[in-house]
Amino acid sequence: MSETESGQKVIHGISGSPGICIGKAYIVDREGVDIIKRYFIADSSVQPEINRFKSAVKKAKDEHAAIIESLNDDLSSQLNILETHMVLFKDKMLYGKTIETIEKDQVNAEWALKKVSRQVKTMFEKLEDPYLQARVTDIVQVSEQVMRHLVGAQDIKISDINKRVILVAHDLSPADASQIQLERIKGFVTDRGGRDSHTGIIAKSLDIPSVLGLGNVTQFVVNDDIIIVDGSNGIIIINPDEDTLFKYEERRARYEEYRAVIARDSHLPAVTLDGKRMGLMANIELLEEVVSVKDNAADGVGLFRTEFLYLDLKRFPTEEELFDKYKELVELVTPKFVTIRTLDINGDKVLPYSQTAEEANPALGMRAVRFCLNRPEIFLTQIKAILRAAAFGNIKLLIPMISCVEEIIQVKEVIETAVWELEDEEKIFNKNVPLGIMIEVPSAAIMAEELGEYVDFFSIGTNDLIQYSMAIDRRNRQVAHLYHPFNPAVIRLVKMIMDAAKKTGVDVVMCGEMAGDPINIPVLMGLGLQELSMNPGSIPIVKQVLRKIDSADTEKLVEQILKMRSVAEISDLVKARYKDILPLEDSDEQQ
Amino acid sequence: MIAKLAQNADTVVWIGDGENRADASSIIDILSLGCSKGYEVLLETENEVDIPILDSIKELIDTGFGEDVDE
Repeated sequence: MSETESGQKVIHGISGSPGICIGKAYIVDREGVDIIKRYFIADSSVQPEINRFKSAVKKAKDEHAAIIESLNDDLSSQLNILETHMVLFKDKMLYGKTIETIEKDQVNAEWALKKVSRQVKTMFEKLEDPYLQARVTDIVQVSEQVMRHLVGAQDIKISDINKRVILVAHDLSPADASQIQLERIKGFVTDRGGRDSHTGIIAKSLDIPSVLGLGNVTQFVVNDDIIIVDGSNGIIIINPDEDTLFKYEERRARYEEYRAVIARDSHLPAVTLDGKRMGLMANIELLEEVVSVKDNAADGVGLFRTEFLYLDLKRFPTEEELFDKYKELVELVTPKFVTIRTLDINGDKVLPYSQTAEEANPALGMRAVRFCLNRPEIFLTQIKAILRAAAFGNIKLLIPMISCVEEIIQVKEVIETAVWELEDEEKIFNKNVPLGIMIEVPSAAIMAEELGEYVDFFSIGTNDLIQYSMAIDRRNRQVAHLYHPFNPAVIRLVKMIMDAAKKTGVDVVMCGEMAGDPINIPVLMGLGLQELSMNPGSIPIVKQVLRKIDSADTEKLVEQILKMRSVAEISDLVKARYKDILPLEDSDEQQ
Repeated sequence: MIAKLAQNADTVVWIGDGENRADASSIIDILSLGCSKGYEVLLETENEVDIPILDSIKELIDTGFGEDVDE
C-alpha cells in the first residue's frame, strides 16, 4: 500500500473482473446483531416478511445440519443437544409465534423474533427447577442463529441500497452475490478471495469491475469514501487526488467505449469473412454463471467443471444431490448442449474429506479419471446422476486426463454398469449421451487415432497439455515464462490431434485458456478447429476477431507456422499478419 | 424426544400435569410446564388414531428417556 500527502491510498489486490469504476464506498458489515431495529410493515409486506423469516430459519437449520453431519466421534456426546436444537428451530412457541407476531403486530421479522424469544426467556426464568431454567440457553442460541441469518445475511442491506455505490466487503458468498442488483452496484472490492476462488468466479460472472484479495481494505475505508476500482489491473485507490481522478475518469470513458463496440456485435453469428462458422461455448462451474452464458450469446456450455459441488460439502455428494444440480443446469441451457466433465480432483483441487496418500507430484499422481477408476463407487454415482439429468436436456459426457486406451475401456465399463443399475432401479435416464475425452496428456495426443475409435469427441485441454508436454509448472515463477501456447511443439501436437480426429471422424473442441485469447484465434481456425470453449466473458472479443478473418488465409498461416521452430518466430508472424484485427495489447485496459 | 414423536401425530397431542397442559409437539411448551423428574403427567389426544403415539411417549417417559433428560 502507498499513501501520498493528499491522503490518497493505493492498494494492490487481484483482478476479479476488468473495467474501471469510480464511486462512493458502501461497507457491507456482517456484525451488528446486538442492535435490533423495529419498523412497521405494510399489509402487502407481511407475507414477504414471513418468507424472509422462514428462509432465515431454513438457512440456520441447513447450517446446523452441516455441523451435525461433520461432527466427529469425539464430539458425538454433543449430538443430543444439537439434535434438540434442530427440533427447536421449528418449535411452535418460537417459529409459529414469530410468524404470528409478524402478522399481528405488522413488524419486521427481527423484532418479532426478539419479542418472542424474550417472552420465552421470561417464562423460563419463572420456573423453579434449575435444570429447566438452564434450558433457556438452548432457546437463546437457536434464536440467535436465526437472527444472524436475518441480519447478517446481507439480503436486507444489499437489496436496500438505493444509490449507485461500490461494495466493500470482507467476502461475498453466492447468496450475497445473487442479491446484488447490477443497476445499483458499480463495482466491488473484498478483503478475501483470489482469481480461482469462489468469489473470483462470481466476480467474473457479474461482469462489473472488481478487485479481490485486498487483505484488510474493510478497515481502511469508511462509508462514502471515494474509491477508484481498476479491475483490469487489480488496484484500488481510496480518496484519490484530483489529478488521479481526472486520469481515471478518462480511462474509464475509453474502456466503456471499447466495451460498447464489442457488445454491439455480440449477438451477431460467429462466422469468418468467408462464411465459416465457429461454435463459441462457455466454460463454467457454477449454476449462477448460466446468466453470463446467455448474456454473451454462447453456443452452449463446452465445459462444466463438477469439482465445486464436491469441494463445497464435507463428504461425497449423493446421486440425488448431483442429479438435482445437473438437471437444473441442463434445463436452463437446453436446447443447447452442456458438456459435463467428470470429477477432476487432486491436481490443483483436493477434497479435504478424502485425502489420498501424500503425493510428491500431485499433477502426475492419482488425479481425475485415475482417482475415479480407483474409487469406482464415487465415479458410478456421478455417471448415474449425469445419465439421469440427460433425460431432461442435451448433455455430453467428458472424461478428463485419459492417458491410454485401457482407461477409456474401463470408463466405458463403468458407464455400462451405470446403465444397468439405472435400468434395474427403473429410473428415467438417457443412455445415448455423446462420450468424449480430454486430450491433455501428450500420450493421449499421440494415441488419438486409437482413442478416437472409442469416443464421439475430443476436448483439447491446452493448460495441461502445455504443462505436460513442456514439463512446465506455470505456477512456478522461475519457469512460467517458458509456458506459451505458441510453442511449436504444442501447435504440432494440436495438429496431430486434429488429423487423428479427421481420420476417425470424431468432433474436436478446445476448452483450455488458449481458446479464449484473441491472438490465438487465427491459428486455431487454420488448424481446423470448429468449436472453442472459453470463459463466457471472452466470447464477444473472440467473436469480434473471428468476424474479421478469412479461413483460407489462416490455413496458409498455419502452413507457415508448422515449419517454424520458436515461440518468437510464430508470435511475430501472427502479430504482423493480424495487427489490425487484434485488440491493442499495450493499452492498460486489456490485461 | 417427546416433541419429535408428537410431531408425527395427526392431531394435537397434549401433555399436562392436571392443571395446565402443553402442546407435546413443542419442546418449549413442554418445558414451560415445569415438570421436573418424578412428576406425574397426563397425555391426551383428540383422535384415537394417535393412541400408538401416546404409547410410545409413555414408553419413553417410563424408561427415563434413556440418559437424555432434556424433556
